[in-house]
Amino acid sequence: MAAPAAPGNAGNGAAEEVERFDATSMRFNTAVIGRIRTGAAVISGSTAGILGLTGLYGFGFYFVASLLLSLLLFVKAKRNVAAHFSSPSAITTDGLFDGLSTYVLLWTFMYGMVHVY
Amino acid sequence: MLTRVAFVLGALLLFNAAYSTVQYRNFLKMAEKDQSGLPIDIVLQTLAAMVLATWAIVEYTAPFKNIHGSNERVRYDAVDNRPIFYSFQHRGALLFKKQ
Repeated sequence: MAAPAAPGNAGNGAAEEVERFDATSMRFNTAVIGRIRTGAAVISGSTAGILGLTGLYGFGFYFVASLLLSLLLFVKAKRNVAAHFSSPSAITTDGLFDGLSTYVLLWTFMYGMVHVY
Repeated sequence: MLTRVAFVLGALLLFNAAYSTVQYRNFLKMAEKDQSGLPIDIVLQTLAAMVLATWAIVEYTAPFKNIHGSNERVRYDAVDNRPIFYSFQHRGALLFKKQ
């Protein structure tokens, strides 16, 4: 929907411009990020299990893998985060802990398969 | 297509690394060596497989949409267009009836 620009003084109209975002596109992007985070948690969890990480090293590895994921998301957003997200935290910290349970599931599963049995 | 191939390749590399680790641990048990840690080639293969598969997942999903401005713009002459209020049962049918 094309909303009319916020009325402001002709002189400093740009300063009073209200930021407007397309809600449908924002929801779409958030959903895409959520799907990617789940998939990445599966992959990094399996990796942690195969490497035989235990304790805090395993949790530390999740955040290292999230850092890599943020980098890949930055490239996917064509290095222009502001065009696709209202805040840069969308690709760094938003929903960071959503994938943690999936990660722990795959981590313990692969650790058990490879190192225990 | 490329991302699908990359994902399958990454998953296979990951599986291969897991299998190598199992064999290595069996070898350690057989040789009765007590040693923790994995050979560097298995570690590198696992990490490379993770990077490849994660990249494939990120690029396989739909591209992000621009949130500035709408993708379906309404033209100015259609702003007050409300198709749901169209009425075809009006006086026109009587006024312009053929005599």
